[in-house]
Amino acid sequence: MQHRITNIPERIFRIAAEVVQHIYGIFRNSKTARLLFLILVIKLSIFYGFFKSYWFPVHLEPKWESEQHQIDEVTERIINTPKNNHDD
Amino acid sequence: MIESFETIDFALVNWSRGQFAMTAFFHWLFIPLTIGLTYIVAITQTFYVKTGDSEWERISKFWARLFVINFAIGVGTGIILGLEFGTNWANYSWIAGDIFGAPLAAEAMMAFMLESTFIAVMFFGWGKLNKKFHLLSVYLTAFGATLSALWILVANAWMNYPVGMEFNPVTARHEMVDFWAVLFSPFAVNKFLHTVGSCMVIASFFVIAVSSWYLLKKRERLLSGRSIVIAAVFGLLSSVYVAATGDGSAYNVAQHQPAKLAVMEGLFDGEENAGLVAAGILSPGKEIGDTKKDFIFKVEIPGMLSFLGYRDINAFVPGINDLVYGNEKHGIMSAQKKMQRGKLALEALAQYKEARATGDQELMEKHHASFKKHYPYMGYGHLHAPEDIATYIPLIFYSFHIMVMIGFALIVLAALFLYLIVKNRLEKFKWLLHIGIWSFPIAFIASMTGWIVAEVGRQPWTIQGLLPTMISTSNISSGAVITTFWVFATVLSVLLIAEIRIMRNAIIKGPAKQKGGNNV
Repeated sequence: MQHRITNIPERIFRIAAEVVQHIYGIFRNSKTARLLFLILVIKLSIFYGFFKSYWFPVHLEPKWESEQHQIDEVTERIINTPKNNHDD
Repeated sequence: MIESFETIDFALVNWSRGQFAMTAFFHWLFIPLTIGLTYIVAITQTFYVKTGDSEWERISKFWARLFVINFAIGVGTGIILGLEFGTNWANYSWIAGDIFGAPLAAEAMMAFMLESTFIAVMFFGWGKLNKKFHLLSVYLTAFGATLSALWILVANAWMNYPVGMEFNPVTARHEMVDFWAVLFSPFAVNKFLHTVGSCMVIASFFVIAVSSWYLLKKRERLLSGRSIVIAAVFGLLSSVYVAATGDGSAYNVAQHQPAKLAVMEGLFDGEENAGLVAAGILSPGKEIGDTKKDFIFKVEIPGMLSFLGYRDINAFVPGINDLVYGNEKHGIMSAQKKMQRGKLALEALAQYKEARATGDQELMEKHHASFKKHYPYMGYGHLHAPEDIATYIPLIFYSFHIMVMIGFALIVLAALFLYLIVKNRLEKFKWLLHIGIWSFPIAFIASMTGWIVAEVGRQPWTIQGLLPTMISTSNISSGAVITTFWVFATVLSVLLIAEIRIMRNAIIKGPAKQKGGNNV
């Protein structure tokens, strides 16, 4: 019984290693797979790494001091009719 | 008294709209194949599991390979749209976030988890897993992709038909009170069915296009023949289904967005027994309220618009002029009256805010009651002129009719392909194979024009009747939006070029010769 219990982590490790080897084999043998993976990595780096993590928060995030400030500004925009509510 | 105090930067509004339209356009170039092609892979893989014929597995792997390419390059293009809600449309996000955020969160948690997990099982498990479990993983991938479409379409449907919420004057935002009303609103249900159906149409004609090319090159005849059978059946059924759900869309639009329907049909003056314009050319320079002829020429199906919109061939369908200037006989309130009521709502909100600041409970209740009474017209209080409720008439009219014409043409094309391939005569009609190749981009045009009708047709609103687009934007510089517009356009164009080149190379290379092994 103890033998079976101690075998479980070893079995899980072996299965995981087989899966990793299998996936590695696919990428090793297929140029298309490598190219797609590279595009995926570059693209997600740009979207998450650059845009989401830096560009949007630093340059595009609307700046409010607090939630109440945001509420007040949004309410002002809803309530007040602008001088030019038509794109001429 | 409402005081005018600020000016709207329409450069910011228009570039923000343009940026969202551009990023949504690029995103939509990838999504239909992601959703639709998984079903075709699932069907062909089902044939393999049922029959044991390894050619079916080869076919399945080929289409799965093209699916992988599209998925890998397209995944993540939707991230930009999600970020844009916060950066470019902060006012809208605050006002609608309590309702809008829930479906987007559900999309991420449910759909992406399911889709991404089983995509990995599908790709890396080919030849390694039990056949039936692998087949299940393909169906679950398709289901996951469809589920993600559900949530975003629920969010979009709410913008056209806002239900299940109440406006909180203290926080100046809509708060969800009935999740099920949002999820099962007739707009949401129909939009989901119609849009997913269109993805299946596009995927079907992608398969037909590629297979047609192979047949013209006298290559992969067995793969092409079998694929065309599957795609033509799938395409025919989904094309008819899209037409049926399109009817549902027209009905919903007639009930809740009558101005959009009138614009779609170029109907300036309302009619009983209103005909559906099958084809027509609008008079150039025709304006709302003028006496110029509406059309240079048109071909109508008598009574059809009344039937589609109101399920009664003799029903009165309001025209643009009725909705703008009112029609007492048919109980249609003019846009001017709605604007007056909208201004009352905004004034009541301002007075409620003042009363709240002074702590006058009685005044607060009085103004809150007045606000609630006129709330359904809140957005109209911002409009400049009654004519603003019906905009971009030629664009929406022609987009709608292009979409419908292509939709019906695709039904005929799918039926023709099915008939000829079953009779083993398709290869004799080389002109039809050339049309088959072009059917894929043409199916895309139908889909894109449909989105133009849905989204441009909703203008001037971000939330129908409650929030106009011009006050939905963030308080940022138009320069920042212009800069990011071109950055996104460049990045997304590079992705599109990469997709086309890799896809083209994969198609030219063709399916793997050997049986078994991986699918990439």
